[in-house]
Amino acid sequence: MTPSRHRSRSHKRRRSRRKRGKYRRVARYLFVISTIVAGLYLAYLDFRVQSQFEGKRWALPARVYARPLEIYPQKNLSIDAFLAELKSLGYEKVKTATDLSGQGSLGYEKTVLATEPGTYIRQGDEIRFVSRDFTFWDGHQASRHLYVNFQNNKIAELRESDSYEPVDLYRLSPQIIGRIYPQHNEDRILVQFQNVPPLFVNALVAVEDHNYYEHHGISFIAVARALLANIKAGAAVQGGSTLTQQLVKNFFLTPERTLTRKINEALMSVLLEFHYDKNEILEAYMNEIYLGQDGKRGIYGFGLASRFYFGRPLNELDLPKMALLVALVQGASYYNPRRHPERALKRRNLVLDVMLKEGVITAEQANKAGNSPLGVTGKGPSGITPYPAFLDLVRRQLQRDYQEEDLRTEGLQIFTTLDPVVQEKSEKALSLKLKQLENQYALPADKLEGSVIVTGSNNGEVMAVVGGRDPRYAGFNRALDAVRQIGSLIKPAVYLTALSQPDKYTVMTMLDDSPIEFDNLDGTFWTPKNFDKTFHGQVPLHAALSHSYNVSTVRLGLTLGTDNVIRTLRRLGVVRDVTIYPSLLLGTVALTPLEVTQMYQTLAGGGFITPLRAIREVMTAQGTPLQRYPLRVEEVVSPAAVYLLNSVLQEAVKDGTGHALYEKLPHSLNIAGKTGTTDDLRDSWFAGFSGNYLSVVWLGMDDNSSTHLTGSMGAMRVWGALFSQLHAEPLQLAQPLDVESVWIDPATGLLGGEDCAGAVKLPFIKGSVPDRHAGCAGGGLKDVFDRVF
Amino acid sequence: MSIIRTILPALAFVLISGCAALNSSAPVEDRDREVQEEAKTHAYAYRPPGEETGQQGGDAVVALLITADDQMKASQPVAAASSLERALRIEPRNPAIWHKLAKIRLVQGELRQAAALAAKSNSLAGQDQQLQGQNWQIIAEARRKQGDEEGARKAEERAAALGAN
Repeated sequence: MTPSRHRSRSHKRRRSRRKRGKYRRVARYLFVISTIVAGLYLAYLDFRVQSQFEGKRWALPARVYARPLEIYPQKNLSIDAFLAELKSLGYEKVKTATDLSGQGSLGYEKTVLATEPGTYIRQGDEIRFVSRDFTFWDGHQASRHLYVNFQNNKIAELRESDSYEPVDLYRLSPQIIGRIYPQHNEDRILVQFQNVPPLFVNALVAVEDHNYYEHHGISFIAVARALLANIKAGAAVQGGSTLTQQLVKNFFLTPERTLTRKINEALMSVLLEFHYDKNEILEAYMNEIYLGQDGKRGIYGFGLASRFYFGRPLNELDLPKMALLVALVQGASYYNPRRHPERALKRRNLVLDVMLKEGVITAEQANKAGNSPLGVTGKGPSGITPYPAFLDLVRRQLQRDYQEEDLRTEGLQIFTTLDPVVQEKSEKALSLKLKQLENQYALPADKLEGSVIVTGSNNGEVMAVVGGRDPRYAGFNRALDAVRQIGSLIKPAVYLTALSQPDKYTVMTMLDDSPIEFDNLDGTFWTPKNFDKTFHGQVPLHAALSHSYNVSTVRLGLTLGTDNVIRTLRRLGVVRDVTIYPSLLLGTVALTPLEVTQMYQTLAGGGFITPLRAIREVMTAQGTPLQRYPLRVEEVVSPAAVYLLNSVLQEAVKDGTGHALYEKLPHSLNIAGKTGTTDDLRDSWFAGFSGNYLSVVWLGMDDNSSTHLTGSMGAMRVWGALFSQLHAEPLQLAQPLDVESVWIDPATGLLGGEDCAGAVKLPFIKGSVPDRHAGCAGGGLKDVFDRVF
Repeated sequence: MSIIRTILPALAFVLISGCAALNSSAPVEDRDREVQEEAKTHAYAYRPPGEETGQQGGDAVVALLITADDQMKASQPVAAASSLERALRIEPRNPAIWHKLAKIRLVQGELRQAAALAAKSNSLAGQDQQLQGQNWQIIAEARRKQGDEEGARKAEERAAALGAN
């Protein structure tokens, strides 16, 4: 126990020492705690940085491609159609091989040589082109130098450009026809660092962050410099941000400008650089940066910007174009080269100056580039597809196998069956003919609507879909969604039902086309009439169909039984519910043009059904095959019966309701087709096929009022106009072994000969051939002898 | 088109694809017959017996058929089928191509499709009895593998009636 005299001083000292100790302890605790907190926070930021960067999947839109154009000697293809394809692919025309200057090989002065992928030279009917690398579903195809020569709208020769070795077949890369966008409407084409020209990388770094490769995420020098500049100017004129910081700002954080944000940004930049190397970060930057706007679609990343402004991929750009892209980083809207070309030019040349100062280019290069025009194309390739009706079909088919989210975000590559040449011809035929018809028949202007579908006649691939008279408008897709009565288009189903029973019906079976009356059991009667208001008495089956007589068809259908007719419809591929009234035999069945196309596809396929396909393959963004939609067939109706039916459909075009088609088309095409007209002429239909194409055309009014057009007056004209432009091949039906063609005397329906007036050759399934000869062919006695001997 | 360019690929095709689809343990004499048949089938690709079709793209089709062969040899039936589908875009009504596609489906074990494609080839083959006989053989094998012994026998009868071996 201390004496109280000494207590005050030592006590005070001990107390203050204890107090200091206490403060120190508190301070130590605080220090430890704040370190832990800071550490945790840093760990949290670090986690965010890593997980965002690693798991980084930009939501990439799906890319939809048209069919790849395949070229080979003798192919029916005009030089204009070929050039249109090259144009759609963004190929650059080069004047002549000697017309160019500059080195080109190091990518510095990248004037285009005719040895660069994506270029072509034209000399009269000859084209030399260099194709691009492309990874197809079945493998990678390297770039090639080729020569092609056109004569009479055909490919006369296809050869290697250098060796002149003949080439049998070449498949060009397919053009993009549309995209399926992520919800937030950002659009991108990803670039990989190793594929970006070094010149471009140097340009970007020189201008935006010339110490990029030296610093570790933040640059104190840059910050200091910026601070100084800002103080001098009295305002915020310079950003001290490194490329890394810019990436972090766009990539991770929302665009607020607060101090906390700045600190977070700085910390995250350092962390990012800690984990990832310079090139990885730069690659992300090049894919992230905002570079323009196209309506609702945002243009992000240099890959897409290059296409959007110049119509070419990034690695095909020359120096002035590269400089312009770099110029856009600081303000894509402000420096928009289409809206503000002077500003854009000034900034681009500023970029060139910086590049010169940093030693990236020579004075001569800078000078030449500075004097070049901006080089932007008139309008960016639209984010909106030029083929909305077809893309609609693609999406519906995809939705069976893919989630909407995957379609929008995984960057899937979708290879379709669309043939842009056929599509364009279909659109033209429809719009021209609609106008002509409106003039010719004094119809109100711009009201008549229509749809056209074209498929491969044997493989069910959909080559063209036109949803309305204004094909660019993504509105009501009549081809897929207009459910309309099909009228006489149903008759082939009735007659096929009959011909599938050769023991009861042949093409010569006499049908009764005399008046018939049905009691509707509600006080009213149904009295079907023929279009020509006449009754034709006894008519052979083939004539009843080729002239599209209603009355005999109704009798036939009722005898066969409507449920049998419906069964045939189902076999042909009609899925939709059908009302089972006798009037169905005259086509009160309502279907969409696509459903009608499926039905006639089975006929064109000779009794084999092939589901209509708009997609061939799907691949991932990286080029891994995901799924293939192979060609499948199924025999659903007797091919012999279908052969008979198709022969009659050929007759329908030659002599029946479709005969006006041959006013514009050569007879040798031997088209099989059927006209369709509904009550009050509300719908005008034509379905027909050649050796290689099937097409269904529908015309009608959206409000279901009368078109004043029959099938042959309206839809058939559109069909004819289209086929006069397509490279249609003749339809040569292959006669099955169990079918024989015999001469028939039309007067008696018996076997005829050359002496019989108007004798025609008709097909019969073996065993159903008439067994007696007509008088003019020596009938009577001849038949007796034949039977005896 | 020179003889060489027709026969050589035909031979190549035959010798290579002989193993692929149908029973390949045929003795030497049958092999020769096979060669002839295949050559005829091949020739059919551009000049169906008795018909002048003016078909374009004959060489392109040959190139694709040979590619399909190579792909079958490399055990890539899916790629081979894809090559044949390309050929069908050039000559959609050529029964020889449909026939070869049927063979590939047989190898892949897609028996229903093999039979259907063979029948499809028949529907386009017109009067070409040789090819139709071969198609019936494919149908027979497909039926047999599906357990339809009766149907297989009937198909074999059809094949024999058409003069196939």
